[in-house]
Amino acid sequence: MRDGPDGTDLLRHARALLLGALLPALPEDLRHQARLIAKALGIAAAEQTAGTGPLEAEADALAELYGEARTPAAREAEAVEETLLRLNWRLASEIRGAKRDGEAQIYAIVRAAMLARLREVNPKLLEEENLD
Amino acid sequence: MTLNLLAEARPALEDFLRASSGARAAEIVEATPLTGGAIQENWRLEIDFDGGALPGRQDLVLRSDAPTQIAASLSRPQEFAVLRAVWRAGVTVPEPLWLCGDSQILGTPFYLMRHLPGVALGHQVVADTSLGGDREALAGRLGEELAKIHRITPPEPGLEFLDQPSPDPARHAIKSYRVFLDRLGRPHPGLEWGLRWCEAHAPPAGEPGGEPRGEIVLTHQDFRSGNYLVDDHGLTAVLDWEFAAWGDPISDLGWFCAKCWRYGRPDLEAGGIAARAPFYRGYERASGRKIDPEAVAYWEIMAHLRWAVIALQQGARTLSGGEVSLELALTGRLTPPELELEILRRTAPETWRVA
Repeated sequence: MRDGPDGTDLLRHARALLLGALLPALPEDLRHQARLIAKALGIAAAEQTAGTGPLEAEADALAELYGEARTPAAREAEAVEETLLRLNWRLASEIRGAKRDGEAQIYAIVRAAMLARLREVNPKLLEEENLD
Repeated sequence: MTLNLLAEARPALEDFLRASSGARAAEIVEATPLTGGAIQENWRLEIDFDGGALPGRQDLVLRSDAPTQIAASLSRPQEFAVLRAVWRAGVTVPEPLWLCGDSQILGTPFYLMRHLPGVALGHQVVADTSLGGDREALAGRLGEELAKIHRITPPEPGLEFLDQPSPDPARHAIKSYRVFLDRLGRPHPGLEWGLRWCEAHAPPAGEPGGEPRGEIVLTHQDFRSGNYLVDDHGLTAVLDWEFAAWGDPISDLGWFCAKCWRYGRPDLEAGGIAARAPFYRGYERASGRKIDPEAVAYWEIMAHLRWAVIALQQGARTLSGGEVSLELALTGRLTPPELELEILRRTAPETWRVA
């Protein structure tokens, strides 16, 4: 068992220190790089906080599309990343092969996956666009 | 930096400069690395020439390949040839001076051009309205410059190395993006959705192997805010020619106006600097073409797809064991979903005409 603060907390504190104390003291030509580091820390923290939840949701949507049941046994047999790779390859191939032209269900699935990725890397954009 | 211009390469470089300019002697007084793109290395050189074609102190830029190259980009000798062609056509570019195709001097081919004053950084150009003079005039001028580039049509002497123009530029591009996606080894259904939409709604093509139905011209392929220089008064140069290719002229207009290149000013649809109208007016005036807004809108979706593929490639370069670059890594992680948001917004089910 680990004591807190956990890795997510540490990333949050590191980001705050970088943006609050270091950034204003840096020369202009290094500020861009400091912002990049802050961005990377923010994404890593968001990814840790979200855990596998967004991946599971995406896998569930794909499994439903293809009539697969993600039973506990199925989840045991195939890691979520593997399920995502397998079903997303299938979907990508069908879209490319003109078998899913304009289908609302497909659109909803790819859009939800995009929003989940965006939520981790640029939540501000989602707020600005009233998507969250 | 891999080049150490003021150390071991200096005598050979000075000898090249002396011989190329016809001077009695050439001395590099100062060499400063310039922040360039992800692909090239640029150096600003202050050089004293004794006689020759450019006597006295000269302010030049040396452009060479960086260690990592993108397959789709032109080599330095090819880029130099494009720069010469557009310089002859009257496009506002730094005057190209001398090419060194020999890798002996710097370990890679390089060329020299004049250094021009100004700022290119997209964020700065968009945000700092004291730059570039009147913004509507700047947009109009950029439209005119683009029209000048588009006056060059195949075949053009000196540009024989450019790939033969496809009779179907849009589908040709879609095919190449799919190849790039496949090489990444991971599925991207959202981008596939956008690519399929673009395939299904592509402009009419010519016969396979035959003449294109639309016009084919020299396209810049990266004509956007961030790739031109401005000073306090206006445009000083159009830069970054490494992606130039034969193509559909409207593709450059779509790239310039695409939302992803507006640097925080989505309301200013011409590159974040002005409304579309002055940009379009400048282009139409100088080209004699009438712009079809729907065709530009199509190429804006293509622009987002292209940039998404490039961003994924840039990110892939930094995966385990690859190049160490936080900037590229973040581009690969951050940019594609942002672009996909716009791609999917413009390709919703109700927009499909073929479903």
